Amino acid sequence: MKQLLRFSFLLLALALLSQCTDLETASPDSAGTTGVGGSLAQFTIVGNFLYTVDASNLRTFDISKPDAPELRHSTKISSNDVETIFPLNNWLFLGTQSGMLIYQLSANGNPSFVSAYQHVVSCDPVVANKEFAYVTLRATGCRGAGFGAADRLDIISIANIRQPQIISSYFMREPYGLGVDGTTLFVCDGRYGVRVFNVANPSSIVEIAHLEGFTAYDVIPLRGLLLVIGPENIYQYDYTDLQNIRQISQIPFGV
Amino acid sequence: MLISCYFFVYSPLFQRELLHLFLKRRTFNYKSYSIMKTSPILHGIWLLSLAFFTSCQPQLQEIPEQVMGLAPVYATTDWRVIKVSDSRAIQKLGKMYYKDGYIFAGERGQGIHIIDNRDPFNPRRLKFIEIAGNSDVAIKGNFLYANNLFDLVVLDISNLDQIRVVSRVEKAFPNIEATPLPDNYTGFFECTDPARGVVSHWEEQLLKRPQCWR
Repeated sequence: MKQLLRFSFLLLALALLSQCTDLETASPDSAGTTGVGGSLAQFTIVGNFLYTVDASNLRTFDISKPDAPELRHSTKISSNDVETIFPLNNWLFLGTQSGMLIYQLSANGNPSFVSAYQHVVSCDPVVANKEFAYVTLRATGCRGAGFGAADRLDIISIANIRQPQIISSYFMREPYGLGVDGTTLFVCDGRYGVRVFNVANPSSIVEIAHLEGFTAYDVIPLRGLLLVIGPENIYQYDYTDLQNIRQISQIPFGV
Repeated sequence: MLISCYFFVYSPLFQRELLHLFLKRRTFNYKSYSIMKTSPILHGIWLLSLAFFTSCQPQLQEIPEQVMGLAPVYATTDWRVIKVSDSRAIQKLGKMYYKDGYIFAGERGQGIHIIDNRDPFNPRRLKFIEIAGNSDVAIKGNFLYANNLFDLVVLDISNLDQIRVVSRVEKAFPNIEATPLPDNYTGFFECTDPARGVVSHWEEQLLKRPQCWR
């Protein structure tokens, strides 16, 4: 078992290389803006394309004509454990139970595999921001969590997108979804609420607030307004002043 | 030893993790990883674990006469009909999506609540879009994209009082045969019967001698 553990950790350090793809940007968004989803989303729109994931497929739909969307491309993902999709520039970050996969979007919208960051099997959404990707790994209450899995937050440098590298790792209690806005990172810690970090220095992040007293599963940060999903309420917080994050309303369930 | 037993009882995917290390990842091009070195050890672990798995499984569960668990709700024959109804209480929130002051909150397997959040101090529920088997949503411009079981549907939401379906891609997600159990559910559930159609969502119920669990 020790060997397996050691082996799993070895996997963390390895990244994959793939063939070069063109770096052209996708066509501009001409027919309206897109909204914002949470980190547990399985649908996302980039330009004229809708990308969807299920356990083993990444699909590309051309939605340039909303009255006639077309399936353009379907990529099989062999690990069969994809959970989430997150877009950044021309990249897609897939959170899978065994790691984070990065795909690059070519001008025709088709994604091609760029690199991977592997970890022990756990539940783990991913979000990204400029040079860093943030991944939570949850073992607590994660069906299928592998041996050696822990509850933690990993910060990964994507400065070299072909070779993601772990910068730092922090223990959490039962991390679920997360969201990033500039240098502020919001991590849902399950029954332990939402933890707010200043991630300006990724090798040593600082907790600036802890929103407690409720269970949190996912967040959507919206430039000063934070939406939090729990099992009983949607909570809204004003974080325009990070020293004084305050709840402004909640939408209760069941009534 | 106990630990390996524990992992096999509570984590069937652990097997898969091992299999991955063993089979699938061998096809990956890890630069500094030689399967030859680790393979005999892994093989040993695998066999050992298999032995434990087989010894653990019979004790896995005893089927109770009655127990609370999840029962599948089968989609009605008109599951492709999308209706917009008055706002209703949120019960089991799935995904959430935000656009231009409105929150689109998914009711797991049943549809999408539209909440007017232009004043975040006073969010107001506006409508409920009934979409059987829905699990995800994204919006661009005036068009909302959602799955209706294994179909992709596009709704025009430019006028929230007149939401209409503009297109549908049938079987866009062919491998969704049934709405899966909620992600982290462990416990008993009523086995699904494909003859009764596709599962649109799951409901908590008192089950009699359920034959399925995870």
